[in-house]
Amino acid sequence: MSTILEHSANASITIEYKGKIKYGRIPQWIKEKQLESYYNSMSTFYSECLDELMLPKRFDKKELHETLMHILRSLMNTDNEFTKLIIRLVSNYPRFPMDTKSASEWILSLKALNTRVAQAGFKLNEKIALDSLRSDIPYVVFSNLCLGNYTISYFHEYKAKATEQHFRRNLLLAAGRMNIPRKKNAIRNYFQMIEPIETMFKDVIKNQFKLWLLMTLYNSKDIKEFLKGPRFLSINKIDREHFTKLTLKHEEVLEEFRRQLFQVEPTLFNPIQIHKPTQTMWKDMVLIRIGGESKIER
Amino acid sequence: MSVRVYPDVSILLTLDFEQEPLLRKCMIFKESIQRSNITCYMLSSVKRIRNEIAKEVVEAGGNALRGLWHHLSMFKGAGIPNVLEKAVITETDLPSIQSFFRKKMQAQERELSKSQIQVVEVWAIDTFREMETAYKGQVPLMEYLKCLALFHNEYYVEAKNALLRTESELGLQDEEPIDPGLIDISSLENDLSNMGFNDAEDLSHIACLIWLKQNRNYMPIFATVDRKLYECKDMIYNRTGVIVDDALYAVQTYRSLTQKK
Repeated sequence: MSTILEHSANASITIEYKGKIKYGRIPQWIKEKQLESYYNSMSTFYSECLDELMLPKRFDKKELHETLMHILRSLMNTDNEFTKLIIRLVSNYPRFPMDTKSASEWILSLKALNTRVAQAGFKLNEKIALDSLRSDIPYVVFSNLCLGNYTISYFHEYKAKATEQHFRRNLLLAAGRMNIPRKKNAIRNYFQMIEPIETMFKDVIKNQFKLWLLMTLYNSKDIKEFLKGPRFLSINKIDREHFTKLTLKHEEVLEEFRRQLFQVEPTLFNPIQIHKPTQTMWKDMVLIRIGGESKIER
Repeated sequence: MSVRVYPDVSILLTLDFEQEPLLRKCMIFKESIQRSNITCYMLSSVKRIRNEIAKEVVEAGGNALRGLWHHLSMFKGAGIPNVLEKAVITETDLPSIQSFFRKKMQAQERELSKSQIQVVEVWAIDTFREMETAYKGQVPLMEYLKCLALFHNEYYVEAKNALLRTESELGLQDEEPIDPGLIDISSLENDLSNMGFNDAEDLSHIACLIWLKQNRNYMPIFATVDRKLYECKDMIYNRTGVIVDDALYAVQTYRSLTQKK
């Protein structure tokens, strides 16, 4: 349970989810640490995910939302590195006027975030691997969740890389020489570059989270079991129609997002390291490499 | 996505990529395409089929792993979760693992799925060998199964990445989807089957090419590395007007036909 929340909490740090509905009060310590905007954004993220799902009657959406927020608060309370990173990102968020120090801090924070997301993604993939064995849900659903986690990591890698390139070109190197309109333009152009892909990313992470929520909640008899994680994920316990719609939507948004990411940064999709003894057996099925030497080795 | 249908070419080339032992031919095909500066369009059926292949393969391997989990759960921990958490596998369990996979393979009808189960079997043995040293011969069961499932999912990720890379390397462009079901090829299918050719995916491609010929007036070429399909080329041309050519010569044929026009 905490693995997926940790992953989505990390992956969403720089993403702003805007919504009208607010649940509950914001604890004082969150306000004091200037974590309010992130906390609100995550609250919106969870409430939107829950609102868009058709859940079994035994679950109350407000109670579930409070449970998710409680876990988030615990994470923020116990993981100092995590909260420090949020604060660092919030205080160095690109806005005019932006000095060289803030730009460097923003880049470094995005790099640190990229590492955290990759680590959380790996942990989550381990959990998905175990869940996939203890289930009769089509295996490809789990593989697609895993693909989603990889793609989320690719996005953060892209964001850190593209930000560094943009800022070095426009702000850092020419900081002293640039006039005010050019500096303003540089920041505006940065957001124009990032925002379209970030919008797609929001859709991917939301669908990813919703799919996991749906599979887990339908297989839990109460919140206690949901928190612990059901022992077996059965397809028969899930509302089929809703599940099919959601898996198709998940596949579709993921595919579209991956194509977009591939266009802007194809190097992210370079071959990953693969188990050597079986590589020759696998490649005649789906791993078709046209041209070039084999890069897959271990 | 564009809604144009192959506006710049009068001939369509498609390639059967599923013949990895003949990868060299695929590379020559790719180089000829690039040298000749031919714009390539991707048949929607090719993309769909390749995605389906990836799914079928991952499903077959995944089910084999689930079977192995069940097999070992019963064998090592009587299916009781807290016993399983502590269960270990040793060298003596390998014959049982191997025989499980053999049975799975025998029960499987689809060739692709069979091959994937074989792949998973090789992983299973190899992963055990790798973990054996680290755990001094006593490999924790759940850790072992988790590793296998992780590998399996990574292969899926790599398969999906490879699809994107291949499309990009050939400069393939997305076009209007064509449904192979629009053309009835059942009699052609029978005749080809009598000649020993019955690849369902290739038949779908042929159906799409026939549709393009009939509705868009193109002269389609099916570039293939499949020997069996190549042997049926005269019959396919006489019946459908689709040219089947060896991937080595397809681009040359394409150029000679465009020159004649």
